[in-house]
Amino acid sequence: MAPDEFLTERPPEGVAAHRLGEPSPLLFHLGAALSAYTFALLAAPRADSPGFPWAPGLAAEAKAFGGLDQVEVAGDIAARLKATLAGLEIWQRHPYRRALVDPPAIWQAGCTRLLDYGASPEAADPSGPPVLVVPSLINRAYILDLLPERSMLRWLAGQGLRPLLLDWGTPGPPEATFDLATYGTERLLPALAVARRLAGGPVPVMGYCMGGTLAVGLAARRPDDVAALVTIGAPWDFTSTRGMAGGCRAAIRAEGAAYADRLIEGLGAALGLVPVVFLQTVFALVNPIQAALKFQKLARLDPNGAAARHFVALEDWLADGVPMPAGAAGDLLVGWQIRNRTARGQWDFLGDRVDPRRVAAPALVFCGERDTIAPPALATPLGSVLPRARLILPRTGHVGMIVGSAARSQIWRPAAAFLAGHRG
Amino acid sequence: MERTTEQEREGPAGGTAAEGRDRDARARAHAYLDLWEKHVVQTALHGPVAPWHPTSS
Repeated sequence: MAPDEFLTERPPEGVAAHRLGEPSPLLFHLGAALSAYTFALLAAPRADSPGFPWAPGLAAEAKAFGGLDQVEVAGDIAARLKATLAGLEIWQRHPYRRALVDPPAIWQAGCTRLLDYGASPEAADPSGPPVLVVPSLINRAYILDLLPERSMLRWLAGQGLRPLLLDWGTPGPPEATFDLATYGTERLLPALAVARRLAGGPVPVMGYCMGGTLAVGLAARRPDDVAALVTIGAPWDFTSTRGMAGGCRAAIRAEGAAYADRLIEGLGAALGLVPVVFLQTVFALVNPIQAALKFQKLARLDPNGAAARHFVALEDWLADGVPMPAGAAGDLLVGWQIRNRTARGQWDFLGDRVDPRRVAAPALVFCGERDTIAPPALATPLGSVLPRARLILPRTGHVGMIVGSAARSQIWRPAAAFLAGHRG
Repeated sequence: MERTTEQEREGPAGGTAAEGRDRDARARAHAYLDLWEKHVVQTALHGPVAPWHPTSS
């Protein structure tokens, strides 16, 4: 590359502009992989040592690795890193572009829209029973409508339901000062009122990820308006200190939550909103070598096949993050994650403390056994604290519950049956 | 050359015994790294309680 090419904004030929420099934070992902493999090389001569701190269950297998040839290990590491880069390039040059068109919005406030999937071409009954669908604020809502063959909302519409997706959008000036409580009063409650009007009474609410937690807050504070509650991968109790995410929570708690408050406020004050790269770094910390491993997997797929297309669509969604208002980010990352206000009964939402025992509606709680964003330790407590909850533990991950190959059988179908049976 | 001596010929999977040893070393390095990746992921996702956290004492 000529030196002056660094000064242009044109991506290299064949690379989609929106994938350039992604997945964010790219340097973190590559550095984490390099670091992990470097330690593998350093540890190789002692891999079979009885004192080596292998993760539980792996020590027995490691006994077979005495006398490893470090040159061969280094060669295999180089091949893996090369495969990571090859996978990245396959994604960046892939011709897939999302072509799905949003259904019409039946209500809008600021950047938030209520999208009517009853008006989508797949809908079996445009005036079927409405379901208010609450996604996460931290990612785009279209994960629920990713691809024609992997669209939970179009599939639900095809079953005769009328999903109404609360697409939070990208915060603009009206939302810049919002915290979660403001999102609740200014966006969630009006959307519930629209859905309730269409339903002619209490309406089922389904929430995904932190949208599920918000749906619990809504159902607890407005029990007369919510006919049924479905949560999918919704975190509730952040006590756990297991793993990187839990370790970070413990470290910040030891430092004092006020420190984290100041960090988030400072980001908001300096940049207007908490930037996407900060939020993506938080996600990346959960499993630092995940990106390297998944791009190695992409490099092994047929780039023209369906599996590669699904991968690219999902990776595009992950890269298409949304910045958050500092108030809302502080509530999520400090109020929930660090102070654990949700499980400790200290979460103020829609005018009062949220007490999940006040949720009158029957609830279906999905928690993926392999979920790393809202793992079972964080999400299964909802199955206990909601008075009329049934807990389902599909063998999938967080995003897999929505767009994975098992999503339709393990989540979509039971959710549809539950929603149809409790339509208000 | 060591790889072409009579004794080294006809290793376990075809080729010379030295080539067989090379293949074995490569396979073991590969298997070791597969295990290492599992170790890193398991530790990241389920690692022990942080030692500075009150519940660990």
